[in-house]
Amino acid sequence: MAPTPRKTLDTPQDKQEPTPSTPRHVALYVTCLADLMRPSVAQASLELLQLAGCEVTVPAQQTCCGQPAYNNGDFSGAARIAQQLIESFEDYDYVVLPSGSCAGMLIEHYPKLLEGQWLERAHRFAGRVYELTTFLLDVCDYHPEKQRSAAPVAYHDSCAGLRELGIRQQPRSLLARAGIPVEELAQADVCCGFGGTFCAKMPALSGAMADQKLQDAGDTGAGTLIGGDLGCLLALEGRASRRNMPMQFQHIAEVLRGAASTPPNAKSDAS
Amino acid sequence: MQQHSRDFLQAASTAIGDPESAGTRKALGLLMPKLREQAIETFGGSDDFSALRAEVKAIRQHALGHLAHYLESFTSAARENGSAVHFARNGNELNDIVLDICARHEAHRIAKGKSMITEETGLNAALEAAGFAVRETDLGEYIIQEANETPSHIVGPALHKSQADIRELFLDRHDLGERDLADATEMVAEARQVLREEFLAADVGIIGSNALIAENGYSMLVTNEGNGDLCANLPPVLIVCTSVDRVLPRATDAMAMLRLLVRSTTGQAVSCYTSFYAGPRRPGDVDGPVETHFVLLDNHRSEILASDYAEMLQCIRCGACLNHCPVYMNAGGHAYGWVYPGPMGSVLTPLLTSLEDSAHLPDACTACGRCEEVCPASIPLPDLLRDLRRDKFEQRVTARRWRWGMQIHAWLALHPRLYQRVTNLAVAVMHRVGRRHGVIRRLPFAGGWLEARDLPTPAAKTFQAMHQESLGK
Amino acid sequence: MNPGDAEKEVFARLRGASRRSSPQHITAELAALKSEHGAALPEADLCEALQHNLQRNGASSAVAETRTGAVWEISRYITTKHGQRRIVTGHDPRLAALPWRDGGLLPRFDVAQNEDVVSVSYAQCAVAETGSLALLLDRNNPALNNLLVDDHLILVDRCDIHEKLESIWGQARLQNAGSRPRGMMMISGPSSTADIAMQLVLGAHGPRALHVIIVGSAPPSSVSG
Ligand code: SF4
Repeated sequence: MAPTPRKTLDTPQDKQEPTPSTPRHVALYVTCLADLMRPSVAQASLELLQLAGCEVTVPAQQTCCGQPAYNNGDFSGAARIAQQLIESFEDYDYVVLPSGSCAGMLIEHYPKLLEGQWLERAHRFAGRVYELTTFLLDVCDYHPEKQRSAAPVAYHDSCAGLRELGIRQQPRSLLARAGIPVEELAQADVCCGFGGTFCAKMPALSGAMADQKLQDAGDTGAGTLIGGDLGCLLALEGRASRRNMPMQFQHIAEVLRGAASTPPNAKSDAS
Repeated sequence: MQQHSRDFLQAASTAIGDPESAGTRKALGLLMPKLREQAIETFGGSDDFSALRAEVKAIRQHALGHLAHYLESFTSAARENGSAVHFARNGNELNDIVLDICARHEAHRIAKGKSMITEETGLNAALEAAGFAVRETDLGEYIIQEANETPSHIVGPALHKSQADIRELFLDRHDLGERDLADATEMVAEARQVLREEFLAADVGIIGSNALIAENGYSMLVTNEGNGDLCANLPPVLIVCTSVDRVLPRATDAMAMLRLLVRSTTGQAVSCYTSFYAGPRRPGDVDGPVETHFVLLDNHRSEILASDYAEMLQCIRCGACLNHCPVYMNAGGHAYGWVYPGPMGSVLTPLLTSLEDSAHLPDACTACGRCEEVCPASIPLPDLLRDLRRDKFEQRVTARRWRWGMQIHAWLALHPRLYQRVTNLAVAVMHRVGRRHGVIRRLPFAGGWLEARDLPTPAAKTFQAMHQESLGK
Repeated sequence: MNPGDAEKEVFARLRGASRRSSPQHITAELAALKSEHGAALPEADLCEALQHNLQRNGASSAVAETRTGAVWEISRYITTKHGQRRIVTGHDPRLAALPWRDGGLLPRFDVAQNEDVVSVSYAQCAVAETGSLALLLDRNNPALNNLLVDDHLILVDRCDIHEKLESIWGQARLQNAGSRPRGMMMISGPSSTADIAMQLVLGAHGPRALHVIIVGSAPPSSVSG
């Protein structure tokens, strides 16, 4: 059954019409994984949003969205993190994240953690939060630069993005606009085994699930697996490396920004 | 039933390492979701299914919200129909009640239909210890009884066994001379022949129930084999063992649930046999049991009803969450170490046994949400599992290093400046460690990750550090 | 252990966990929960839909316009399939009234034994939506006739075909506490199992085949359609 997209094509009602004179003011929440492990994803997201005509701020207060605490049962720790994040981001028109799972945390789970006044704030805040590809396509109608003779890529739908936010069409449409052919996985709706701390708590299961995903991706014949969630990608890349599989892994922001030819690490090293 | 949930990790690893059983599970994981999807498409479409799901959820919530009322109605209707109704606070009480009935009838042989409740209470072991001969008659249950194993799936208890395993088992256990047993058809025919004798010889039949109907006292039994019906109609005594949460207000509600159940379970429109039993044979009846009993088990369900986990009681035991769970497909049902495996089992087992003994189960989930998406009873399984992790955390069942690790991480996240300093340092170290090999294979605090995979090497600096530099700060 | 104690205690706990409402309130709340769903019918005509769904369930079916036609169909079915004419049937008056001799048949009116191969039953009604036959279990309709034989034939009157599952419960005998039969079986296909390596095999414990004969002519309105 296809999940129902939670977000529609409409921009929030109270927002002014997008014209070049009034650019959308976006706060970029880069996510802790991109911040630490792959700055090129954050950089590409920043540039894409600017190219889409947004005025982008990267608030300096950002840390982690609280998923590790939340998913390990420390609800009160997660609630405090949620409050801090809402406080530092709620004044922006839009909050954009290059991750379905972190966006899902802010949109779907913060309200579950908070009560009273904070719950109202969390609901209001959730209305401004967007995952990157959803924002670029549905809000900005962004047309990425067309890439000539791009090799086909396989696409990994991360579960939180797919089921909590209904993100399926957005990355594919953006890739199509960029002229990048997408090969579909046979079991696209099955989890890759990352699951946050799950992969550290149950490595054998996580590894087996990753193997199945890698096999599925490999069967498409594409040499690169693209995704919208760095967690899944790093976990799959790490597993492929351990098993000496040649596949490449890239975040969709990197690909849309045309970073496909440059290894992400080399690029960020140079900066 | 004896619990082994503490060994989850090890049992899962063993299952993953066994290529044959992994292949069987993979086939199940590919086939069942396809059957379910086809059924939903064929029988009314997905909108109809969603509407049906919402309707049954509303009925289940209503019934559970007024469970005492409806259970009272059922009990008096069942007694009016001529059945005896017994209550059991826990598994031992249920076993004692059944033993008592069997002893009173001087029974020797007992034929059983599939019943997860009696798996839960360990009834077979209790009956056997008391000298009764118990025969499971559902083909899957029969196979695992003969193999001395436990169910690996709530609908297909023997789905972990290959055709070759079962052939070996039958050749070994049935004294029927030289024969081929070349295919499943021949094996089913052989089991039919063996089990037919059991039905005819049984003194007591024991079955489970898919729903108890409050308004008329009938109990619904859904099967394809018809074994439950033979248990219910041939022996002179019938005992229906089920739990107190199975009550539905009206017979028509049972029909709505039936539609949802079979589509989700096997992808059929309806099961071959859907039967309703109310009581013993009436004056003039020429067959049927002369005595019928209902034994209704609580075993923590009234506590669950009063807790944050009440939604779990909406479960109709369809098995869809198992069939769609990638953790279940890799770990296999036995790894869960008790009666109920997969997502529903990971919620139920801690609630019906203890959180300490089942501590791994709430963690055996990536929160991928596929189970919740297919669950016909709309149970938010990933949320319930996360809530159990909260209980683990608060009750200090979570391992200390995880508890402390999480608390330190959360504290750091609440202090952005310090967080950034620490992450800068960590990234610098990781960059240096990883540069040599391109990836990181050893790192303090990353043991779990590194057990199954390498860690890609990060850039030299965090994004935030680079960004602030570029802004000239 | 005093058996009454467990009952009292379980009810006390459940009452504690249940919502507080009057029976009137509960009834009103329930009445608001209406059910109107189920599979769309493959054919407009109930009889055709029933046949279609029975076939999907692995059963066969035929239509006989008259009761004599029904007997002929029974005779044809068992002689071609089993090469014999022995059948067992219950005491349902509708079965007793069939012109058996016209088909050269003489059933044994009795409870089926383990050795019986073919039985004939008469259903109270059928459900087109799922391809199901509802059989009340009572003095006229022994359950064993539905279960012990290899081949089960079920007759149903064309006018007793309902569209939806819910209609089964409209039968008067099921409505009143005094007349409730001890059981009801809803049969939708031959006994089957997939417990051996997920392979579908018919004839697990009960009948290996199910043949349904729909008795009666089409109502005038649907003849043209
Ligand atoms: S939890 Fe839902 S999907 Fe799982 S067995 Fe119960 S009803 Fe079926």
